[in-house]
Amino acid sequence: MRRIGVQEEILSENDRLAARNRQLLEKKGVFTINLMASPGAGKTSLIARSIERLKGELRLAVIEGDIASFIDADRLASMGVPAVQINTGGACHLEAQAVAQALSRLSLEGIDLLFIENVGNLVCPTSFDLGESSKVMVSSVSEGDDKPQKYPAMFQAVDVVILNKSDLLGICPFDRDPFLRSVRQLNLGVKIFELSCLTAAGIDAWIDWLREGVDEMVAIRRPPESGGCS
Amino acid sequence: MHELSMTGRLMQLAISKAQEAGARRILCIHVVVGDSSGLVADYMSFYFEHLTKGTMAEEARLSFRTIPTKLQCRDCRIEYRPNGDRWECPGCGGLSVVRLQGGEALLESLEVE
Repeated sequence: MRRIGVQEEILSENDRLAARNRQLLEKKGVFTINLMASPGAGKTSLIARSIERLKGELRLAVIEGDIASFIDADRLASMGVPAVQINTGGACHLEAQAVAQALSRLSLEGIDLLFIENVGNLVCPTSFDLGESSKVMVSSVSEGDDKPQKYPAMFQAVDVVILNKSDLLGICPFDRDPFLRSVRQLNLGVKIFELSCLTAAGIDAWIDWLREGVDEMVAIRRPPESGGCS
Repeated sequence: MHELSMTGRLMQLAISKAQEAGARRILCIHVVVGDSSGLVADYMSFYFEHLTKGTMAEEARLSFRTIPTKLQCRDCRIEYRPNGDRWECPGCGGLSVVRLQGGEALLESLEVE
């Protein structure tokens, strides 16, 4: 018997594949959002609203992670954007390998903004890097204001938290200020958008943030021209 | 919650490391798991038994070293272990916390022959 020291992350292979996805997406100039939330928080509705606002201005696409059905992909494809479905076959999260396969089914050259809708779950998706530009989480008023306390690792892992269903503030029991304070405490650099996918209230700031992300990605892709010396 | 896929990844990694080292079979896989990594050792062991069938790790043992979660409050600076899943600082009740350890999911070493 002999012992082999390894000391390697179990997810090192996923991380390698995610890095490859990221490199490809940056090379093609695709600003990519990994959208995470619990089931029913409004991930698909947020994507639908974003498509409605940005279609015609930006070239959009969607990768849909779902445990079994094609309902969400069909809904978004009916809005006229390329939508690729990943059925995880029961798995509770998306992995970089499945995303790599989905990317190979899209014409990345023709895409400015890609949404990856993760499986509805607030635990597992945090562990799996997909190669996205930005991790965005949707939390909704009807879920209650204690989500940051219950899922701190998720709130720490993301770049953006969206508080959806703001039209239900005052109807559902939800203490807005303590919720926002907890989110900011957990994640110092987090960007927060409060909006309602139902009424579209507050959606403009989110759309502007997406536009900025796309602009930055274009800037990464096209380095500034050299200054005159030939 | 995602033990099936993590155990599958662990198996792939362990087998590739054992093969690289020219081993014939794996006797034991030593894993380090943080207690806030979302991984439950019993579930991993359950999947492990099924996933190893017919592989060079078929008779291997899965051995766990658990790392307790340790947090630090950015405001009070105190270090503490959380109360179950609740991360609030025992000093100020706030959530301005950094996880110092407890999220690990590592393949530490293998015993092979």
